[in-house]
Amino acid sequence: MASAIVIENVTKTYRMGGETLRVLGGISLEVAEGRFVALMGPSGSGKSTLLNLIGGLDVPDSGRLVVGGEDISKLSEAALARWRAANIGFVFQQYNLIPVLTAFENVELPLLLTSLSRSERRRRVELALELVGLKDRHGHLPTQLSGGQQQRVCIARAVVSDPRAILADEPTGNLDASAARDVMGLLKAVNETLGKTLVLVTHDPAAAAFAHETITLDKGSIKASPHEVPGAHP
Amino acid sequence: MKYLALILKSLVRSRRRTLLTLSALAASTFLLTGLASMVRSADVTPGVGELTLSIGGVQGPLPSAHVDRIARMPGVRAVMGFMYAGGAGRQESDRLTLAGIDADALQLIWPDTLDIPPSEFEPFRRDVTGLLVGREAAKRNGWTIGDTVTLAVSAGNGSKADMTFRVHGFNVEGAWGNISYIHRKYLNESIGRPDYANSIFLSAQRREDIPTLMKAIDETFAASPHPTRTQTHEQSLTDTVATMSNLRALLGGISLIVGIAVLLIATNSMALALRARAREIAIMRTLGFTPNRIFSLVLGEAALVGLAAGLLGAAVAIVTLQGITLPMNPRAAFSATPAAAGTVIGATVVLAVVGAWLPAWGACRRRAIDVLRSLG
Amino acid sequence: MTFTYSLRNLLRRRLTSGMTAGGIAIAALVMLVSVSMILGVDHTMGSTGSPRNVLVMSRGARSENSSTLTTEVVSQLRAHPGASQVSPEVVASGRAASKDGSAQYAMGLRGIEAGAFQVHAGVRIVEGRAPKTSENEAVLGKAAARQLEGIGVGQKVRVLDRDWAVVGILDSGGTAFESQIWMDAADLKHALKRDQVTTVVLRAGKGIDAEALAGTLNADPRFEVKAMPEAAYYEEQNTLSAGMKDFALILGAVISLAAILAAMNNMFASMGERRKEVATMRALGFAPSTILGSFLFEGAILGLAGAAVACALSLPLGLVSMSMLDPVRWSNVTFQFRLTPELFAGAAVLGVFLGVLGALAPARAVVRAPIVETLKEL
Repeated sequence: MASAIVIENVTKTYRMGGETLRVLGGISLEVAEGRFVALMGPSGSGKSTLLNLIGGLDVPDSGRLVVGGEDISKLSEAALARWRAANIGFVFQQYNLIPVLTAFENVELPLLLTSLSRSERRRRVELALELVGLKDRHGHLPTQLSGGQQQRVCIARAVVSDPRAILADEPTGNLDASAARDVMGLLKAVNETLGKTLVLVTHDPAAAAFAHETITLDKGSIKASPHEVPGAHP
Repeated sequence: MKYLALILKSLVRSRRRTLLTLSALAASTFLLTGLASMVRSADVTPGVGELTLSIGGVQGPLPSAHVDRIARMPGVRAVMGFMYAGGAGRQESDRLTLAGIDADALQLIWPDTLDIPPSEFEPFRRDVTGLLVGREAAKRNGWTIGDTVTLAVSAGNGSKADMTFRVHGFNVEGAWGNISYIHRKYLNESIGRPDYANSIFLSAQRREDIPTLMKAIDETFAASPHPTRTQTHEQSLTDTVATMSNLRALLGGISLIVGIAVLLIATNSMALALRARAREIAIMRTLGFTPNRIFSLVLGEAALVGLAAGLLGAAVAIVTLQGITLPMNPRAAFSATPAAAGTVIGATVVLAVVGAWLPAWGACRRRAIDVLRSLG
Repeated sequence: MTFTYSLRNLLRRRLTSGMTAGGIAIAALVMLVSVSMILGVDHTMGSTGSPRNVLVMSRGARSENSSTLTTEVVSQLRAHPGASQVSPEVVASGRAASKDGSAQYAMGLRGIEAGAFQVHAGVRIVEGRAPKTSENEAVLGKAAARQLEGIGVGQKVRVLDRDWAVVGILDSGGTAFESQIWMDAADLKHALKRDQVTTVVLRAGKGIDAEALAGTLNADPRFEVKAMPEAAYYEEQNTLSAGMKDFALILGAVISLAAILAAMNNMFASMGERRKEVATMRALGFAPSTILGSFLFEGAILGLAGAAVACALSLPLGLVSMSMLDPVRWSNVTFQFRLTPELFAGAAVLGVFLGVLGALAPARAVVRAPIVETLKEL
């Protein structure tokens, strides 16, 4: 299987109030297409930073990042934005839905960047909402939805533009156990039925158990080599 | 226009903020429309005839016989005697500025009167008791075409008479708009002085003739009991022109200050709005909205608000600012005009967009992910 | 505590505070420009005239220019027991040419006799001397000389188609006399081809009230005159500033409204961000009125700051003078923009007023919010 994500010797350093913090020190990693990978590690291990780099929300200080066959480590901000729109779907811990837009409109948002017609956009949005089981709530505002429902809208938004990969940063962090289970199940289904490469950042082992493999990070480097999780969640 | 819905939703999001911004900008636009209209109507140049000469008596009024004499001189296209008078309307305090003229020559000599539509001027010309009322006076007294009005008229030398007129039309707007035109013949007869004029105006046939004509006129009457002093129309209006241009400079200065206010308000309110929506904008950027796209959305929103505010302010101005006399020149009346409104609305949109620039840039400055992180 | 708390809060949000102050500054600046102009016109036109003087014109004359007093009346006035000094004058307007002759301006002319400078006590000759009879000499008011492009003593000025030798410059403390040209009364009468004066200005005798004197003259059966205190006459003639006042009022009111609305916008935003802080203070036991007071105080500080900026920006205006044609007397009057301490104080009051008004609604909204709910918000 081709590698969807290739990370080669990537470093990232942050400057905070005069102090320099080396968050990632020379990480190398490969994720095959269609794989569901979990990144785990304690707070400050750099897992979120790595996710942001994969998603083109940030650029590495050194090293190479090839996602979907494209070297994104050297792209400009505008180019990254365009690339991101076409290739990546994000799911955040904080849902990050736009409060004044309905569920439908939130899911539609990424499609506004394309040249699809109105009817085509509607078709895709309805499909995505159906996938996450919220078709009947399409006219609701985020404030009218529960936490779990909001997160599912986010997942719908993440898949609606048919991205190459889905990146989820602590998607269950603000959810109770039951809602978390639903969301993880949904993500798993997206990975399996749609074949989307999925990289999950989490500190919750129960969530990581849904993935094909778990990679552990500590202090900016990979601690344990990738291993298959025996008996991955049915 | 798929983004229009997005922009409108953002504006509706905080109704209070949008409303406050809109009203503040509309108030400023109202002022700018009024000021722009004032500046336009303080422009005396339309009334200054290039070919017009103004002839005054050195020691007082001139006999009407001079008018006939001058009419026969070579190079004279049209000539008329001029008598000024004051007319009192319904209240003694309501004074009208009356200009007794010869209607046949008027439009050649005072070019701004060409703007009076023929449907009003012709009936006036034929009717010796006709009256073309100054705009503001008409509004004040509620007169319309066809009305019969009686005024207590007093001429400069103190003679008084009650005269009845028929309103045939109105004077044009602008620096001379507050003058009311009547027939000099009727005025002279009514006050019992059929034989004189305060001054004489003429229109020369060609520019080149003017210097010779001026000299010839003064020489002709130099030895008579009523010597003349001839000037070009421009020269005779030096003081008015100077005063009006001072006024326009002043109004221009005030307009500049108000324009700065518009810029300030626009920048300010957009900065507020973007700060409140920092998170949303960061989300959109993570979704792939480029900084340029965000820019367009923000500037689009600013343009929309500027347009709405401009229309509102200008509309209120046009409705309320009608028939106002300029404080420094009782002969001038102004009303807020659509032309001025159009310019002001355009300027407001431009200023709103310019004002939004810096905050828009600030919204895209940091990385989206940093913004999201800092906002929690 | 209030002062430092308010000040620190303002400094923390420098940009927003600056913008609010800026909006108020603009409103204050507009007010300063328009009112200083009105004050200038009022000073020049309205404050001309001494409280001890009475101006006498012919009955029914609208202004000095259209008045005529017979020689008989003049002699009777000269001998009037109520007056300590009498000045018969010829007041007219005429065209004067600028220094290089390129432009002509309508100027106020005043033909005087020797006693004029005692009656018009506020008028002084600061350069040169008074004009002598039959020599066609003239004295230029300071502003008149400036308007004619700087004609000075020893030069000639062309008025009413004859040359007059400029023998002096007069100063009258910024009043209308400075825009006039004074010459000998006989010379002016000759130039105007008239033989009668237009006005007589009387200086009331010791212990005599000018208004009372005017009343006596009006009632005197010997002659039919219109007498009024000189100051009252000039105030009546001041038609220019009446219209200006309406204009300034509307301008000031609307721009102030815009400033308040913009300030409210800012305040709502910043108050909104401080909701939790306020709820906490209330939970701790601070009275709502105290908190409200500190917010209004913030508004006042911003307003004051804005007004201060406006006052500073308006200072150059004090050097500006403008000349306008007085439509009634058909002569140019030069006035200066007049910045007085009272005006600056007024600007400060306006600033504070606008700042407080802008802060009122937002502050009340925040202070009234329910404490527990606000604290529970994320």
